[in-house]
Amino acid sequence: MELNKRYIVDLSQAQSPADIVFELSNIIEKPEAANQKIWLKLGDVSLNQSQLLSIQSLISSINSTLSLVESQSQQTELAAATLGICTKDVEEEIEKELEANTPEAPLNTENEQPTEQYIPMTDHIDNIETDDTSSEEEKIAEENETDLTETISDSKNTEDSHEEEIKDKNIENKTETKPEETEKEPVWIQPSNQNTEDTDTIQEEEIQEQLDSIFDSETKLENILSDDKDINEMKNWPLTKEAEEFEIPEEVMTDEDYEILQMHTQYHKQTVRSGQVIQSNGNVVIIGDCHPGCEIHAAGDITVWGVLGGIAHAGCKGNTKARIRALNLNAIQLRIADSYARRPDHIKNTFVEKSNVFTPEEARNINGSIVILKIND
Amino acid sequence: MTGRVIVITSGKGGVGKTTTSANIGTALAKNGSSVVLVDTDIGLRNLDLLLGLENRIVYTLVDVVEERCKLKQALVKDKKNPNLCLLAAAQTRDKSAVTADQLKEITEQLQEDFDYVLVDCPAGIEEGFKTAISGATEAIVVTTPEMSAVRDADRIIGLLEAKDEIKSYKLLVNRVRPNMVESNDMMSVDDVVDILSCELIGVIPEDTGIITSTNKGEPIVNDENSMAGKAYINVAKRIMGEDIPLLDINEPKGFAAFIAKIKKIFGAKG
Repeated sequence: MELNKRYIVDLSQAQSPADIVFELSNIIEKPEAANQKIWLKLGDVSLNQSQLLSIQSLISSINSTLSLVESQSQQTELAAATLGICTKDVEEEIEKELEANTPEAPLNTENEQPTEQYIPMTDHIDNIETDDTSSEEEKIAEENETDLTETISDSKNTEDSHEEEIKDKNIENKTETKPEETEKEPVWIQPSNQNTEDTDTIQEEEIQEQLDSIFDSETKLENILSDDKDINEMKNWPLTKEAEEFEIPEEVMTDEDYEILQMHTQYHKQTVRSGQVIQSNGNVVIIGDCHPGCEIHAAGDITVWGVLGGIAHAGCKGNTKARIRALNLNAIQLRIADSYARRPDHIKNTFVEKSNVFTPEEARNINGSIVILKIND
Repeated sequence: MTGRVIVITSGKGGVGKTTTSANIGTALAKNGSSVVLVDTDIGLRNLDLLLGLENRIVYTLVDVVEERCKLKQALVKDKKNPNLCLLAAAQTRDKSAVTADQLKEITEQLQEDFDYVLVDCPAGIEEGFKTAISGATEAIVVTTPEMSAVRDADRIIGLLEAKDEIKSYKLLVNRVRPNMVESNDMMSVDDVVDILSCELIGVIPEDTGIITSTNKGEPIVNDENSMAGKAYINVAKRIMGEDIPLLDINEPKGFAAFIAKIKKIFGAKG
């Protein structure tokens, strides 16, 4: 639809910004105002930039553009200029046009007769029906998209074809949704469409994160519960010296290792204190100390650039290849997948666990036992 | 078997509720009773630390309440005494995670398997306190010979009296310094009992060994030389129904004091 038609709105009689918005909302409901270049005639009322922006977005909600503003107020003109709206005298402009072109239609009236751009009502209804279905498809497509980004195992070919489909649908939607918006009730003050979309996606992300954390806590407990272990039979974790008795298998990259590599990583630059919990569907890196009484649960690896003193649960969704690394590994408990071990009783809580002497260590799950190895080895 | 549910409470913080719970629990278990300690101080748990069981906790009271595990799975056995079990509080939650009815249900289940269920109450008189006393039929009110602690204990006794389920409540005076009582710088035990008009179950002298035992994660009743340890053992025996006179906590004087000091020096080194 080409926007070659202008539509003049004379609001020079308005006394306040509220009057302008009220009159404008009445005009916007008229079908002939849609898909037009709107020329706005304002009187003495001075509008600031945000008020003008909301008027602009009001007009853009019916697929029209605010292309010219005439005002007696300097503030309004300044605001219009900063928004990139032409500020000229409406009548002068009309005269100029009349001189340049052959006269097309009578101008300078609100009750301008609709021309060939007028969209009959029947078309509207058709459009709305298709739009409804397409918007549903869009939602489904969006869901598919998010699903696809989360699932890793799917082959790339199918992903590509899906993405192409989604793109096609999006293009269709963009072309079709325009007429539908003309039927929408005018919203009084509304930020521009792009902004609303952004906030929506941010909210969706937040909700998704919350869901993830809930999901985490449930799966974490399922993993431990499934074994129905007696916690009084929990064993100490073997120390680096004692670890010699364990045959450490050669490092071969398995699917589980690749899974960890592909997970997203959360960075925390903080001291994790007693009672605080960090949960993640991916890897966790903490720049700081983790005090006794804190809990860290991650589906992937846990890396602590500092002293690890609390409870760390790596691979809490069952990945046995997950590892826990720390500059000073003094955790109360270490859990990897469904194996868990406690700190030996002879290692006492020293009064000050923080020291400048660090021995970076790594905890691994070797055949169901948690073994701690020096990272240098 | 129906065990006794005893809540250990004080109102004021820092008077030794948790220390008392750990020591009485250990002493009762040493005497052959089966004991479970329930920590209801959710979010600020310490009982596990005093017993040295911090590294063994996997499930907590909140996990039991929210049905993520069975009650038996959450009971942590003591390192030395298999008669003693701990039901730890969650550190990552707060008091609202467990309601009074839920705790009552748990203590009723524990009563069937244990002779004594000792509930360690959080400080304050709010939600946490109401939850902790919900399942109890007996109470031990811990106080120190300080005016503030005595006032708070008085308030607590009033609240306990208002609760019909609690049949008896007894007073435990903690951190008594005989020297200061003698020089009239500290209220005597008799003064405290007079003010509160409450039956006394024990007097625990101030003992620096408590601090080291807390840091080690070993209750002081395991130390045979400690006065506080002896006093706690006596309290446990009184709970079991034995009639034992109050321990003479006054420090010996004159020649006896000299001998005691020598003994202490050699005892500490040997």
